[in-house]
Amino acid sequence: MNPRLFLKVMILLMLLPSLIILFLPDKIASEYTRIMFPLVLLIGALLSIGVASIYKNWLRKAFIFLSLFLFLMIFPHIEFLWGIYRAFPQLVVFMQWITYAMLVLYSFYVLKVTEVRQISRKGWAIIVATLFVGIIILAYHIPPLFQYYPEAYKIPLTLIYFLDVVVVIMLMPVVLLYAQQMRLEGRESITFTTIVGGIILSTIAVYIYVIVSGTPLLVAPSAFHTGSILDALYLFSYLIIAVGLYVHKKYDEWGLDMIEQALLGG
Amino acid sequence: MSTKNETGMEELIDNVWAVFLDKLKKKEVPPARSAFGDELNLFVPQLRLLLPIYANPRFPISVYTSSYIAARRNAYAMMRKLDMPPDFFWKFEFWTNERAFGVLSKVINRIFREIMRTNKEGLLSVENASTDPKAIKIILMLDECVECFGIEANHPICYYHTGTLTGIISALLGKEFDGYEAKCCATGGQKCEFVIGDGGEELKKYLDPGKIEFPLQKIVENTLRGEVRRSLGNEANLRYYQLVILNSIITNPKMFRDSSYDVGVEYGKKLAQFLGRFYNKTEDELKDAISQYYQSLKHLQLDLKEGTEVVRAVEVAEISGLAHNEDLLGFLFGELEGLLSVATKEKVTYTGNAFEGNDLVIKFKKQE
Repeated sequence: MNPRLFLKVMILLMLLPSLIILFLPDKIASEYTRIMFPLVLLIGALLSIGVASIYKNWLRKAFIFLSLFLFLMIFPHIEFLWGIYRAFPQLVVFMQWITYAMLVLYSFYVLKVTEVRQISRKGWAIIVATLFVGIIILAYHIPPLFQYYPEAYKIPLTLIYFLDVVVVIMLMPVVLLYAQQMRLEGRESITFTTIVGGIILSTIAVYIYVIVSGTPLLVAPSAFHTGSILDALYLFSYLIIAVGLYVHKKYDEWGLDMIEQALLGG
Repeated sequence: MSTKNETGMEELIDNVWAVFLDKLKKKEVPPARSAFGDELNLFVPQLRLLLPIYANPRFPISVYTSSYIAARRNAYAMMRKLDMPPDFFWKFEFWTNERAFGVLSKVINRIFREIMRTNKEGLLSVENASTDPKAIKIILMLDECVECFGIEANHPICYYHTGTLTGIISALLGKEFDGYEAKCCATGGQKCEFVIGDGGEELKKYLDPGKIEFPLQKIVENTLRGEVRRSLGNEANLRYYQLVILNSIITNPKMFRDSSYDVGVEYGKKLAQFLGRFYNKTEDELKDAISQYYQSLKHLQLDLKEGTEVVRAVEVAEISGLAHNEDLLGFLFGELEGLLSVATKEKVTYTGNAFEGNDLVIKFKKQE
């Protein structure tokens, strides 16, 4: 099995279960997303633990935190917990912060293993540009949210949106390095970049949605579990994270198989 | 001797590595020589490394560096040709030791151990792989090492293999490593042990060994008596020998060719005296002993009947199967000059060479 080819094909194939959401009747789409989101996230969390086991040091920590992030992301999708969230809104804030803390820690350890010194000037320019775009988007969408949130949660809830930008900025070097290395000898991991790409997509999906659809950020959460484009974006991002993790775990085995095939003239 | 072929050495090295890959893929590779085949006594390549080490204190670092560069370039190309994903060893420094050892062993065993076993260079294995973001350390072992088997020396001497193995690991992991030989059969080790990672002080000491002493006459005698016995056999692949020569001279072909020639002259003189005693030949019969010597080592076939002014050689190990390049023959020309000077009891000087079909015609002149 050619792991790189498999990954590329699977990423394309993952569009199917994601885009199907848009064509399902509302009720079925809602059920579909309520099953698929937690299921894919759970698979991703387990795969991430598996990947963590083949590394040590910072990279192991990165995948453990990714696993925790994916696992904690399951909870907002579990329907029977929604009543509890409504009764204890502070629990939602707490859960959101814990979940984001895992993602920030993941990004932190990814950054530690990333050789940022190798990023070109163009790459740094892209990172700075991303930072500016992120801040502009937030500056435009955050004030209405700020008015809407209850006084006690104003700051913690709005800060979470800033964490989105922080996470994207922290993970951007991985994608940029991959793009750079692709032009050279391709030594950057295609699977790892896929995973990071999935995480970035999951982080910015809501912003893509509000920009493309013109929906205010305040109203965007109501599009969850309705068969919306937002659902499709989220599901696709979770699926490519899971696929990336799966191929990453299988990389040694499939890479050795490829060598064997080449030696046998296959 | 002309210098017109200096630039083609990298290409020659790459061609030899390409043959290794073809053999690994079980492709039909025609033998380089019709009578002797592709093997020669392991003493021949040993000598080509030992004598310069003795004569030139810069030789160890030179052969280490050139074999490192050639191995890194060719191992990388080989892995691409074998479809190994370029990111296969991504973040190797963060791999668990078990995974690092397991995967590296599989790649090394399947490819490089196999190549070296086929070439009868020895039996390569990964002994240990320890990973860390600050320092990777990989220990490789070479059992029955062709470079030092049957030799006793006061310092590890396998510079070619240290460079080659370090180059291979550097290519696989996409990082620059240093390597040194921690144990060597020549100094009493069971196997040669190569430590690849951050060489530091050990590397400095290794590459600057001072005077390396070894009992050359005893080595020649043991070789001719067949007392050196490897389970892999007492022969090595001709391509390995050619790589040894190419890597010995590539950093400065003119200088190393000329110094090989000088070393060859001195060695030839001593060898002639030894052969007379060993084969119990009179001085008049010494030419036969010389031919017999080369024949027994499967080094080349020598025709000395035309006298001493023109010597014909066929099946010459240094150049068989390669594009003709006289830079590889400096030592041989010097060695023959030394041998013939003693055999004829006259000062004989090498004057030039020509290729006539498969024959290498070497010309000498008696000096008044």
